[in-house]
Amino acid sequence: MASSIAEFSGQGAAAATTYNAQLTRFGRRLRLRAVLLRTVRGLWIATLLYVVLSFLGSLVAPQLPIFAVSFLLALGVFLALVVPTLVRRLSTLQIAKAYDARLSLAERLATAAELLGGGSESPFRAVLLRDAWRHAQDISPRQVFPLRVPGRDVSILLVALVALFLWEVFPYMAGQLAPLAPLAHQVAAVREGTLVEDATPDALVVAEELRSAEGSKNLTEPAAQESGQQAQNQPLLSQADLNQQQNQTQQGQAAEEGNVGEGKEGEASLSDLAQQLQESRNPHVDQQAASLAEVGRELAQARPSREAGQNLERGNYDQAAQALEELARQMRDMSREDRNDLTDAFAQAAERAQQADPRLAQELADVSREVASYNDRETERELQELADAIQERGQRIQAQQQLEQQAEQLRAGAGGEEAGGQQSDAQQRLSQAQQAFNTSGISEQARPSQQQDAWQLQAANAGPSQGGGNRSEESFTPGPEAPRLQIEQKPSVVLAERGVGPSLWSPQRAPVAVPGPGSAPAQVGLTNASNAIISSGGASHFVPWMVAEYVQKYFNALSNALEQSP
Amino acid sequence: MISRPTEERIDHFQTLSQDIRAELGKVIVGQRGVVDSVLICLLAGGHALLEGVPGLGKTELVKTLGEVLDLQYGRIQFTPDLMPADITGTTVITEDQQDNRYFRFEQGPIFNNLILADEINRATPKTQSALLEAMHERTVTVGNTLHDLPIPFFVMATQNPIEMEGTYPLPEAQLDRFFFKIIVDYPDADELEEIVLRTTTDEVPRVRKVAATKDILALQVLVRQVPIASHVLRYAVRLITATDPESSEAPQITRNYVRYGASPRGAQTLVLAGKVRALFDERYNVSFDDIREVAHQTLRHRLILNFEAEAEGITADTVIDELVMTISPDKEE
Repeated sequence: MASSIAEFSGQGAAAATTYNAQLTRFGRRLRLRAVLLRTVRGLWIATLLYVVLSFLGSLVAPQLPIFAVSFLLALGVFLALVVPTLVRRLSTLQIAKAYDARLSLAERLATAAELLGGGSESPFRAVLLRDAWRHAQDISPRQVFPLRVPGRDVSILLVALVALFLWEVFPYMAGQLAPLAPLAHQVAAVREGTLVEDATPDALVVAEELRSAEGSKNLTEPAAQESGQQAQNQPLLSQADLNQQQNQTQQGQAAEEGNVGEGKEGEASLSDLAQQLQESRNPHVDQQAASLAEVGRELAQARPSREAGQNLERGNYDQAAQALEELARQMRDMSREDRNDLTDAFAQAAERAQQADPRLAQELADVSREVASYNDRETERELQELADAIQERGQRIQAQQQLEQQAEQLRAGAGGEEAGGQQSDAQQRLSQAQQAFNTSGISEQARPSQQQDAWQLQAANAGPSQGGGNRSEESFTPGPEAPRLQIEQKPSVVLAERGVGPSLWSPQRAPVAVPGPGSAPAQVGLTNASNAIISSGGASHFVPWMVAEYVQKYFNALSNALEQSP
Repeated sequence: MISRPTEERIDHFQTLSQDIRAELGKVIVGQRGVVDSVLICLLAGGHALLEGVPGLGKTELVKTLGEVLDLQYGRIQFTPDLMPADITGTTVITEDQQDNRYFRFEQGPIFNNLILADEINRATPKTQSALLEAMHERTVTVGNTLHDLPIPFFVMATQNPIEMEGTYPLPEAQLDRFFFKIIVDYPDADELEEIVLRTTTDEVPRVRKVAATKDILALQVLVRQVPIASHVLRYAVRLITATDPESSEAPQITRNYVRYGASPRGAQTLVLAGKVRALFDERYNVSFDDIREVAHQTLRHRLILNFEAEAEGITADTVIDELVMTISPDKEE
């Protein structure tokens, strides 16, 4: 390469090649620098985008997997910023322009590059090229374009990383539930009965969910969780609880052995179990059944909702739900008069249900409001939700009815049969009772300690070595070790995973096995730091994170109890 | 080796322009910018309009230029009673020796290479219009006869600011024909001292002719060969487009205060003047700075401002300042 002015004539193809080679060399540095700058810029833009999107998303659309969406969007933006810079090749003219601008070369390099590129025969070609070369050969690309990131970009990147830390990492380091502490205090107060009228709607909902989802005292640590002080990696059962479980298992085992040798004790065991099952029936479910019947009567007053109402009255909850879904589909063609009737009927039904089932009342009131507002889309959605709610309650009611029948049969069996010769029948009924209890799902005011007894009895049947004696604390700790369940009695089992955001740092990122109520699949999906979705029987419940934790841990405990069953 | 003729021509350009400056400097004190602007007009083949209050040496500058250049020099003193025929010439009846009478065209003072149109705005618009054809087409039509003007042909006009008594505004069509409108400012104290010293002694400065017709024409050809990069050319065009209030690229100040923007002649002038300036600067290409430097002289008489601008004291130079700041050469990068 000619490197001095004397050797560089500025004429002919060789001069053009030399000049272009010099510009290409300049271009490499330019490209490297562009990639560096774009990468840093892309990083802060993507980070801020992720934080802002996930924050807004958790406020606006928490039911969506917003962390995953935000992460993918941020990644997309980052790649969109960086990849074109990596791929794009700069022309010699662009390179020359950049150096002209940087060094104030009065467009010498660019004009020369353009003259060469265009194959111009200008009389000035040689003299211009020579002039451009004179300036170009003294240029050091490293000095002209140092690989230095502007302070502004570095500052913004730092701010973005701090924001990311505060949004994603800090909550876990600080116990995560801190944001929910005020809510947790309110929930605790509601549950203790010291706060009723001034409680926020969220607190009321959480308290009700907790009542529904709560396991027995020996499976969970509600007090600690409600006060917002739960440590996620702490064992759910204390050692005393474990010992109690072991004792109960041994007692169950002894009861079975007694069935072989001593019929009276076996009778007593069945009778006790029947008594326990009877005691475990949920009076609130009876209230809900009565409330649904009243709602049905009100809905039957209006022509469009007559079928749904009549089915409710008769206890045909599935048909009632289907009728409501059908009603949802007919909304668009409904006359004004029918709409008015429907509005009144749902409003009346809401009043009826207010005392016994406030949540159902709220659903009914929502439907009434949307029907009155002629918002068909929202009305359809509200009707669908109402149908789901009715279906869910129907499952509870039917499960409880089944439970009562089983208890009745057990009671009858304990009184009328010889203990020694009926071991297999007793075991069968016991198994059915277990199944009935299991299918009762998240029954309000249920007593999972009895439920667990049932499972323990089942486990004991498989032999002493597989009993609760070897359950460790670890088995009650939700975490990567959480097992997938294979449960013989087939309570439906599905896997739930945490959302992308928290799972990046959470120790509880492993799939969590969750037995659902009845044959309907249940899922516990934790969407972000503060919210969760519990799906069951086609209905999804958006609940505060804490509730989901309860449910998840409760089901994990059950899972571990069942893990070693045959 | 470098093309010798081109290099020689460029050297000749440098030498000649330096010589002209030096000779003018013997008479004209200071006013470096004015002199350079006049030279740019000369070398680009354009006409110049010099504006300033009386006594600043406008006429003296053009007169001296006429002496420095070996060109036919003519002067027209514009007065309110001046008639178009006094400029272009007229047909007169002439008798030959045989007492035969015939019509003969008597050329006016416009038939020279360098015309000093002194105080051009003191003549009526009708008379001013006599220059329109000459300035643009370098011809004069009298009756049915088309007369070519000598080449090169320059009109160097002087005028007093329009606010002065007894002046008529130049028609827009004629203003557009001037390559540059050059504002002649007051000299500073040092320059004034030098002026007084030179003009109050019995010593009369003598200038010599340094450039002939063929020199001027050769330099004009050279100027037109200076290359301009496409992005610099686009910048000049964008600058002109931005003066049009109807243009989407027009900045707010143009939309607010400009009634009519610069014509395509403005773009041609920007580029040609930029080329001359590049050569003055011993460069072989036009830069963004060249375009910016000549923007005021090029555009100030081509922007027709509206009433709002007049009411608010906004001048064409204010608008041009804003345009130069607003229109970024990096936009297309």
